[in-house]
Amino acid sequence: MNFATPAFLVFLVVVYLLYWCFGRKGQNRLILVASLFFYGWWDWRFLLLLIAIASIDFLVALALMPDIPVWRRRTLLGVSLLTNLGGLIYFKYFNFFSLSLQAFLGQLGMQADPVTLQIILPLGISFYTFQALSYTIDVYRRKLPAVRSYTEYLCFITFFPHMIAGPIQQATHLLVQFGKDRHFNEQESVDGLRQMLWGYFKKMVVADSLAIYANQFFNNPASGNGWQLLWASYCFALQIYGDFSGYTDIAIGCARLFGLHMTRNFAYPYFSSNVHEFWKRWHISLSNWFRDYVYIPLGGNRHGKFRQQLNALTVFVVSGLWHGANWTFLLWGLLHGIYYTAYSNIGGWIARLRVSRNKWFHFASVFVVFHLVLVGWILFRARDLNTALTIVGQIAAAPLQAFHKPPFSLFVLCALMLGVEWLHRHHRHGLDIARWPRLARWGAYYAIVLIILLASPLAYVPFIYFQF
Amino acid sequence: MSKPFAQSRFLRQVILFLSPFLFVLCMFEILFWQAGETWPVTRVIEYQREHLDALFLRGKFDQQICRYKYLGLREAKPRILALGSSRVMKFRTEMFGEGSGSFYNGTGLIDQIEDLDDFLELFRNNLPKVIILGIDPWILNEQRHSTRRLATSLEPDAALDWKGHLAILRHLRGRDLGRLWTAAIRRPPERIGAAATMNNEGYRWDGSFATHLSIDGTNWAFRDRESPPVPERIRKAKQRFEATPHASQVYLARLARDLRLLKNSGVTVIGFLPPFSSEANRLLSTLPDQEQFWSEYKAASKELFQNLSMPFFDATDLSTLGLDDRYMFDGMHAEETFHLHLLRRLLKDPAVQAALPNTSARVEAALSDPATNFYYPRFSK
Repeated sequence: MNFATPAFLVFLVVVYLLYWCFGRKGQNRLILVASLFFYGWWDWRFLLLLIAIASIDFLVALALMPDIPVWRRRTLLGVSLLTNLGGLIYFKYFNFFSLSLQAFLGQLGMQADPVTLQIILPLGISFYTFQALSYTIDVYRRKLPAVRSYTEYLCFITFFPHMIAGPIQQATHLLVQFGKDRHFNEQESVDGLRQMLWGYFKKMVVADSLAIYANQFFNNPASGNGWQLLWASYCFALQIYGDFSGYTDIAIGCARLFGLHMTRNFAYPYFSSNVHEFWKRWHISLSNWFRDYVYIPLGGNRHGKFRQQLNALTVFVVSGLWHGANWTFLLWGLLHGIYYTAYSNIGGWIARLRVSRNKWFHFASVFVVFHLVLVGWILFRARDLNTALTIVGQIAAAPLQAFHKPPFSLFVLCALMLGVEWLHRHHRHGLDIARWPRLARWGAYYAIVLIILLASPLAYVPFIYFQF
Repeated sequence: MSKPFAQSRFLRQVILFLSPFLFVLCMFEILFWQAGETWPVTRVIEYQREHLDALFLRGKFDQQICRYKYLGLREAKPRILALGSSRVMKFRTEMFGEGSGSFYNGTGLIDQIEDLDDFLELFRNNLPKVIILGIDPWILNEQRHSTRRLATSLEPDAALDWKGHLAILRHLRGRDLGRLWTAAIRRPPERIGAAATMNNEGYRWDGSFATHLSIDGTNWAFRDRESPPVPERIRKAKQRFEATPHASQVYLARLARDLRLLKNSGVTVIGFLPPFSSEANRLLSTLPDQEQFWSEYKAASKELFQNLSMPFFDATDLSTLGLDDRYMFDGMHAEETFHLHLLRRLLKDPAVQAALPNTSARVEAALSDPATNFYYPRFSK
């Protein structure tokens, strides 16, 4: 079930109305049934895998008693890691590794018939396996006692707003909420709806409009010249932000309707003035996950600067690969790793410059960071490495080619999204207008709903992160 | 503030906020339904089966001709089937002198060669005994790119697609709204859809297309009702008349393969080339960017059917049947009476006579009826 369909809105209304009629246990059961229904709407067969993985982790965590020998604890953790990462590798990376191995052997002059499988990637597998892993690892680290209620645990894994594309919630944050009573809070509900509305605007109006232009040139780079490809890259940069942060706003707003709090995933990342800041603002839940479960176990910053930078680089490469089985994602991760480590070396020097406190320097930094990120998005969006290089080459030659003005309406939409978010950059979300007079508030709501109804493109554009 | 009070206040506010949208939406949905615009195709087919005089034609929503004909054909399981583009849609049950359900007009299903492939794939195990196949020139034109294809046009039903509803709502203007309103208020039980109600035309239960123009017998003259008129499209080489030097050998080979497949399945295929008005005919055979393709299209089609020993007639020029433009609805669509003349000509072939044993008497009776005019024959009960 897609957030951007009337079917989801009907589903949400029904679940919401029933939800507040029950006590905690009833609410949890309802959320579980609703979440399984929501996920099964796409393909019920994926439910079996989801429940199997979740159940193994639940049992592993139960067996991870504090007083059992260390080797048994490690073995149990190994089972959980094998289940989650094994499933992820099998479904997501098997063909990629198989074909890459064949290509590598081919380079060495050896012939090999690749074994490829007809595998359908289960929706949201990258998200829910990471979430399940966070639980067993936290129990293993004794940060969290194993939960006894299977329902609460399944609610944590399958909670429908975040199951398909995050935000990835850590057990210490979300799971504990299913063990506590939830009380209706009118302000939270109203603000949850506001956040959802803003998410719908970003996704259905801005991102989907930009997708038409971005897809046209990224799907067929030969059809455009350098200027058009450059504009298509800008469009994609804003599309992916509108799409993913829009999804996140809908998910978080939705959870708030049920009295549940989810961690933030975006904090206006395109207003970052350096790469470190960007990664503290973009896909925050994934960055936190990699920090807690990869970077710190690798040694973090505890073994000198070189190891720290190597660890950071590793995390970025793995994070790139997490997005998809393609060299473009891996290189996207590597590029950001290079940005990150480079800034680690020069950031202190820049901060000491007197000019760094100048507001114009700040704007220039935001401009530079956005364009560094933009180069990454070309890699991220391109079908393959060759296409990405072709696009970059074409863009480099742009000044020699005819300038094509992109549609004016795209400027208006982007300016509206970025303008509103700039004004609310210190708020939780772009439509945090609780303090506005009622008339102005309702006027804004009606304006946004009308824009969605009248100006959103009607072509189906799936959420970008659903493919991961 | 108590919890239940806060909850109900919250719900009240949400409902209050949404009520203008819901009200407008409901009003339009009622209007659409009343006009028959949003009846799902399955409901239309069911209704037409029970009301044989009901005509179906949506005014604002997508006609979904492929879905409608596909489901209708699957339901009808006819012995005789007419296939081709809209230029074949005037064949109707009454012409064949057989019981109801023995004929279905599946025209609209085939608009390009890929559609014929799709048709054979979809109906491989459910083929009729006789197919009357109209071959249009654009079927052999490689420069023409159709925006739709049969296999991908069957789902979903436009009436059940919320985006379709939203698209219609966005583009409703004053005049359309007035027509829709009138259609919703005045729609008689035997009309489904705003266009069927307002224009008094539409698809019959057997898939044929009915028009109801009043005919002045004394001063009846041809008028091209296509917009833009067919000669203009030919001159500008657009909208199915894209300039191409030759009839596609690839498409001809595919057509031959499909015909052979039908023959091997025991289906009698009766081929014909549908007519054009005299002006359109003249342009097609004289314009430099059309003439070569036009002559190849006619010759290659004839040769193909002859090689496969299938009945065939080239009716592109009305005069070959002793008719003139007055039998044409527009530059490329002939009306019902023309089709009786065509059948009469086709029935001279013994193979056609054997395939359509009851047709000859029906055709002769209708053509000799004094009430039959250039457009509409009268069929005796």
